[in-house]
Amino acid sequence: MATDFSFEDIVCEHQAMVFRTLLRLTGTREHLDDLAQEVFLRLYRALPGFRGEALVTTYLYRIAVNVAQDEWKRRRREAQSLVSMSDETSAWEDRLPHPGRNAEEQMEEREFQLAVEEQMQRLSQVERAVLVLYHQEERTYEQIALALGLPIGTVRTHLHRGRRKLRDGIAARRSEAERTQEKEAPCTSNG
Amino acid sequence: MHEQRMKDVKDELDERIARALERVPEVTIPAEFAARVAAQVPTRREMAARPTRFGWMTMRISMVVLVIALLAVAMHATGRSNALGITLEWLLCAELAGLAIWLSGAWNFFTHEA
Repeated sequence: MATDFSFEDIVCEHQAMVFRTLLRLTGTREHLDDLAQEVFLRLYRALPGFRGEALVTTYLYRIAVNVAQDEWKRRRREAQSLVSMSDETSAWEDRLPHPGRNAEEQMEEREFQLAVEEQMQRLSQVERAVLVLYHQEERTYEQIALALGLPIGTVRTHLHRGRRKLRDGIAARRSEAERTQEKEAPCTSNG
Repeated sequence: MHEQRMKDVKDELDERIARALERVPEVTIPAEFAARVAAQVPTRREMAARPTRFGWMTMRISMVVLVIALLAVAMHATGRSNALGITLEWLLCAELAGLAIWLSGAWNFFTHEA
């Protein structure tokens, strides 16, 4: 079976999915090419045992999650701080189109997106992977369970927990921002 | 009233989070990425598993030689009672039988491989 298709075609077909999944999982564009390449090289090594397109996609998700986890471990080893989504190379939310919005709405939307991304990086790796696969990649519970090698019930739990952590984190961030604004308000009015 | 308001705020926040998560990031894939990756993978070579047939040919030739030797011994031993000749003939018969059994196994192997 492995000889019936061109590996380049497989890469072409799935590269966008791999890039955006890795981007969301790692939270940065740094080394994205290298990571994507690693995903496909690992896939290539596993290809002879595959049967069917669905399995390739599922396996690609699993590899992408593993590669992202390896990248996180590597970053931890290098004692890097949590990923800042505001740097030039990683601010993918800046490139999102916002047609028909005024500047204030756009800015608010961008800040909210930024807050979500920051909170995403605070989740556990498996929670982040489940959220990305479910919301961004629109996979079903069964597909996520298969890709991550988890029971469906565990996938549901991680999804629920991840959403709750995101909501709590963003709510805490909001209330902190409001408190800061209240403190700064007299100074700005005087200045 | 306050609880309802809190619930509405929570639901609104959940919706916004879901929308943010569902937003697909734009990615810039380098040109020729697929070609570059494909060029890095080692080419899969067909396994050179074609068996040589020297052993099989040798076996067949040996069987022919054995048959000729058996006939020669039999012709030489006609009308004589020679213990050495009989022993030799039995030995040759056993070798021929062994080769025949081996040949049948080898034949199956080659036909299945083909």
